Amino acid sequence: MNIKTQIVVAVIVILAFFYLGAMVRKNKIEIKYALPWGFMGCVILILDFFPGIIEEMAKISGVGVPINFIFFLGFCFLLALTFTLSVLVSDLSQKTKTLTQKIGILEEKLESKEKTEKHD
Amino acid sequence: MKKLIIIPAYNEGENLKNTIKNIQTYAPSFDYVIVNDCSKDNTRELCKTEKFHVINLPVNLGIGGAVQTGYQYAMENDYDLAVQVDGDGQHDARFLNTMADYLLENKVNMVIGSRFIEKKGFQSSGIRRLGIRFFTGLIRCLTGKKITDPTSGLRMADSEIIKMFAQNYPKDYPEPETVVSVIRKGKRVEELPVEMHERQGGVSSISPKKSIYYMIKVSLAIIIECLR
Repeated sequence: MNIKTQIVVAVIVILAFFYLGAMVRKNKIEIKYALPWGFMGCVILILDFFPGIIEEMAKISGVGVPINFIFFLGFCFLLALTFTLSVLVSDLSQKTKTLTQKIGILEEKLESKEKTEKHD
Repeated sequence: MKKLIIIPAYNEGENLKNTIKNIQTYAPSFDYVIVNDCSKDNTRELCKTEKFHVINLPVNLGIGGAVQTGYQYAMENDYDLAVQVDGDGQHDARFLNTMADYLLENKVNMVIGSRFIEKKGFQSSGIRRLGIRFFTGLIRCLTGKKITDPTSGLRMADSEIIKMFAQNYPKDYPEPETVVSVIRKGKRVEELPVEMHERQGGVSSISPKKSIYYMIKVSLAIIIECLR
């Protein structure tokens, strides 16, 4: 890998780290969900500083061009992340459904109670 | 014997008046509750001025979530049976007493009103019938039970099924899937012939564009239900 590319990647990752930190500080993203992103940043930084690792891994797995191995890793990571998000969204939508139903039924109960009290 | 009619309503507006009138004339022994699924029209105000019994959902949940709310209400208030009647005037309350009598006499857990036994009344469009027939075949293959109208929204459930639905009910396009889950639990499901009307207003939740998604989603849901 070219030293220029290495510097560009490092700068982008470090900027991204600052952005991530700022978002956590402002409570825009929970630490729990920021962690995987931070972890990914660390991995990229390590691979950026020691390009030998990638070349070695590409050789072992039979990938011709080392950069393709990075793309492959990134792709796998994003797949895992988006899938986790889909699971999370399903969970959240279940929860909102239950809450909505509870509120609806409670409101009805309240109203029918008020009605009977007015009659009395 | 406490009997409840669940009326899921999304933007049904004036249709509701006819539905309620129909119920009060032909099925006076039933209580009813409208589940207003956060309609964007005047449903909420209409129910208030007409003094209809209504549960207003603060967020739109879709047909499955709305109907489930009705079953939860039925469970909390100890109803012995609950029947789902669409708010758009497709279903006729005239059949409710026959369905209830049949359910009680024959100790059936769930009774479905089917358009296709006597083939009377509104029969839906040809392409829809084809889709419905496909589900009939699929359900027959997987459970061995012939359900002529698995997409029918006119279904009556006893207290056991009410409890089951209150806990677990699919969000969208719930009808065929829930029929299968009820059969798989070893409950008794039977069909009775009914006549349905063409909807008196509003639009179907299944537009032509969505119909492909509908077929795939419901087929998958049925197959997964059989693997549970």
